[in-house]
Amino acid sequence: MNDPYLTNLAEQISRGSHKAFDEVFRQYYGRVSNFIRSLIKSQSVAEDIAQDVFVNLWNSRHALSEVRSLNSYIYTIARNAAIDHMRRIHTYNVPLELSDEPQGELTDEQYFAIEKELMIKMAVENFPERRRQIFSMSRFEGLSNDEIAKRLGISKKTVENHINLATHDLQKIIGAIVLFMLVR
Amino acid sequence: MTKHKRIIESFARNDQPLSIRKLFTRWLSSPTDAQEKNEALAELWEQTESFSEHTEQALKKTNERLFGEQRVGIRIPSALRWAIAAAIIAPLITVALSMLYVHDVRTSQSEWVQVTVPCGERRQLALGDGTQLWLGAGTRIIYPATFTGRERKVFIDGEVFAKVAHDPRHPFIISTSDANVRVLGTTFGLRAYNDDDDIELMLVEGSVSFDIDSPKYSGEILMSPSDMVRFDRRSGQIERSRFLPENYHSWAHDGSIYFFNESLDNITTQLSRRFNRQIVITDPKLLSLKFHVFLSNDRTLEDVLETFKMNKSIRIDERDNIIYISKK
Repeated sequence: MNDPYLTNLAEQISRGSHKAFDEVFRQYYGRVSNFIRSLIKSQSVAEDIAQDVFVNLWNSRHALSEVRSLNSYIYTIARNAAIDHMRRIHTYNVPLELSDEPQGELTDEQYFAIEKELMIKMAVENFPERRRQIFSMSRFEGLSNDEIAKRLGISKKTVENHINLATHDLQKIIGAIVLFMLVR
Repeated sequence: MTKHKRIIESFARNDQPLSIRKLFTRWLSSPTDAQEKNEALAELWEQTESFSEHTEQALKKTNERLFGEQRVGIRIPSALRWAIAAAIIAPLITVALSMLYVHDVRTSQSEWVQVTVPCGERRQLALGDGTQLWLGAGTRIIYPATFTGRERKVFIDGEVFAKVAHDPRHPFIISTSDANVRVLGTTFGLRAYNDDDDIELMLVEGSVSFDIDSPKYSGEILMSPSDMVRFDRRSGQIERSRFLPENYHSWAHDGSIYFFNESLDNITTQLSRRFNRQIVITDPKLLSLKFHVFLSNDRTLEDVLETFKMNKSIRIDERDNIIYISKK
C-alpha cells in the first residue's frame, strides 16, 4: 500500500518541489474531484473544492515528509473538505430563531430516526417512476388511496398493488422496520 | 454490506434531491458510528474513478492561485514521464526492500487529523497521549489520530500553548515550516505562523530544544524555564531573553495578551487574528515601534487599543469597521 514512488514524491513536495507537486496533482486530481462530486453533486463546486485540497496540500507541505501513505493523507483532506462544505450549506445557514430544523447534537433516537428516513427516502428515489410517485403521495403527502387513484386516473386496486410492492421492497432493504400504512 | 456502506454508496451513485442531501449531511456529520462511516467513505474513495478531463486546466488554475503568474505547469510528454517514473522506481524498490530488513516495519496506519481555528477564536485540543494543546486564532494543526513510532510529531502553522505529557521514551516534536521544538515533558508557548516574519518560543516549565532550519539560520537552541527565544525570519537573527513566569499568564488559559518588546507591526498582525478585525498602520515609521503590552483576563480589542492611545505619537481611528493607526 505504501508506494515508494508516491512516498518519494511526498518527500520532494515537502522540500518544495513544484514538479513533484504537479505530478501528484495529475495522479490524484481526478479521484479527488470525482470523490467530492459524488458527495457534493455539483461539478463546478466539486472542482473548486478539489483545488482547495491541493492548495491545502502545498501550504502544509512540510508535513508530507512524515506522511506514510500519501493516498490516505489526500483522502483525509478531501473527505474533510467535502464534509465541511456539506455542513456549511445544509445545516447552519439559518439563524437559530428562524430555523425549523433542530440544531446541535442529536440524541440517539433522533439520529436513528434520521438514518431510517434517509434509507427510506433513498430507496423510494430508486423505485420505478410510477411506484415512487404513488408511494410518495401516500407516505409523504399523506393522501388516501382513493385520492391517489383519482388524481392519477387509475384504479384503487392498482394503487394498493404499487404500495404493497413498494412496502415489500423497503422491508427487504431496511430490514425489520414496521411501516405503518394508513389504508383509508 | 453494512448499512453505512449501503447508504453512502447509494447516495454517491446518483444525483439526489435537496431533501435527501440535507438528511445525508446531518447523518454523515453526526459522530455516531464515525468509524464505520469513515471506512465506508474510504472504500468509496478507492472505488472512485481516477480520471478527469479537467485535470490540466485545474492544475493551471491551482498553480496560478498558489504562485501567481510565476508558474504554469510544464507539461512533460507522457512517454517521457513514464520513463522518468520508471527510472525513479527501480532503485527505490531496491532501497525499500532492503529497508524492510533493517528497520521495524510499521504496519499500523494512523489517520491524520487536521484542525483549523478561525480568526477570532481559540480552541483546546487533547491528544491521544494526554498532551494538552491550546490553539490560537488562525492556527492550523495536523496530527495523527494515534501516535505510532518513536516520536510524537505534530505540525503547526500558528500559535499553540502546550502542556506535553511526560514520556522520555517518545520525544514530542512540534514541527513548523522551518523549525522544530523537541520536548520531553514540558509547558511552553509557541507562536509560529507561516505568514509571520518571526517565530517565538516561551518556555514555562521543563526543557526543550528549539531546532531551526531555515535559509537564514540553522541551529539547535537549548532552552531552560523562563527562557524566551525569538527568531527573525527575515534577518536570521536570534533574540534570547528571559521573562518572569509570574507575569506571563498564557493567553491560552485566561485570554491574556502579552507582547514582550514587540514591533507594532507584529502586534497588530496578532491582534487582527485574535479578534478577527482589520487593523491598518498608515505610517511606515510606526511599524517598528516596540511595545511591552501586558493585559490579563479576556480583554476586548478596545482595551488593548486604549493602552496604545497612551503613547503620545499614536492616533487611532475607526472607519467602516477598519481600525487605522497613524502618526499624531
